[in-house]
Amino acid sequence: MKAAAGIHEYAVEQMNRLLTTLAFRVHRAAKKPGSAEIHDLRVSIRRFTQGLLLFTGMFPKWEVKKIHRMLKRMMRLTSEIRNRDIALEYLAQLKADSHRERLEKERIQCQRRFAEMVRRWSARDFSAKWRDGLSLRSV
Amino acid sequence: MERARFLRQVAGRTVAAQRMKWKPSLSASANARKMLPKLAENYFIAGRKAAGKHSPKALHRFRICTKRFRYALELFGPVYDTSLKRRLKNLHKLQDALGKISDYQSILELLDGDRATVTKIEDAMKRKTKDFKREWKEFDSNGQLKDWKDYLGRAAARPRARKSARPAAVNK
Repeated sequence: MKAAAGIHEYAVEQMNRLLTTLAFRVHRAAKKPGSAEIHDLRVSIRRFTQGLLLFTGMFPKWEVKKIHRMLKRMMRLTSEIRNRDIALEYLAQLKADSHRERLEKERIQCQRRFAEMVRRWSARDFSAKWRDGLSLRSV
Repeated sequence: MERARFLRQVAGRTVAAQRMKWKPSLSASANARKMLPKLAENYFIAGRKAAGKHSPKALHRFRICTKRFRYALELFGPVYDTSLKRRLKNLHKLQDALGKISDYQSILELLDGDRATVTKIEDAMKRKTKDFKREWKEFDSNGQLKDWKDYLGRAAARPRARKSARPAAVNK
C-alpha cells in the first residue's frame, strides 16, 4: 500500500480492497448463513461504511447516499439474525430451553429475508455497480 | 420524537463520521498525520462522556464510536509503524467489554418477560459495565490522549539501515 501516494489514490485503493472483501463475504454468508459468516459480513459492512464516511468528499455524493441506504438495510436485517444467534448462544450456556424454539424459528424467517435480499443484490451485481458508481476503477 | 432521533444520530457521529477535510495536494501519510490526531481527541471526549453514564444505549453508541475509530486507524495502518498494532489491541479490549454489554442488552430485548433470566442478565450487565469503566480508566490515564495525538501526528519511523551491510571490521 502506498502511504506516499496522494490521498485520493490511497482512498480508492483502500475502498477497492474493502469492497472486494465485502462482496466475498456477502456471497459466503448467502451460501452458508451461519453465525460466524453473518458476523463477518457485518464487520465488512461496517468497515466499508467507515471508509465511505472517512473519504466522503472523494466520491459522488448521490452514489454514496444510495450505497449507505442499501448497507443500512442489510445491517438492520442481519442484526435480527445476529441478535438471535447471541441469545441462542447465551441460552445454550445456561442450558435453558425456554425461548429456544421461538428464537430458532424467528432466525429462519430472518434468514429467508436475508437470502432474498442477497439474491436481489447479486442480480444487480452490486459490487460492479458500486465500483463504477464510486469510480474505483479509475486508479 | 424526531428531534430526539436526530440528536441521537448526531451524537453517534462524533467520531470518524465527521466530514474530513483532506488536502488533495498532500500525500496520504501527510493527510493522516494532520487529521487523525483530531479524530483521537474526539474519541477520547466521547469516551469520557460514555464512562460517566450508565445507560446501555450511551455505552452502545460509544461502542460504535470505538469501532469507527479503530477502523479509521486500520485504514491508515500502512502510514504508521508496527506499534499501531499495540494501540489497536487496546481499543479492541475496550470494544470487547462494550460488546458484552451490548450482547446482554439485545438478549434482554429478545427474552423480555422471563424474570429469572432477566435478573441474571441484568446482574451480568452491571458487572460488565464496571469492567468497561475500569478498562476505560486504564485507557485514559497518564496523558494517554496526548500520547495518542503525538503518535498519530508523527510520521512512521524510517526503517534503519541493516547492520550487516557494514563491513565486518567496523563492527568489531
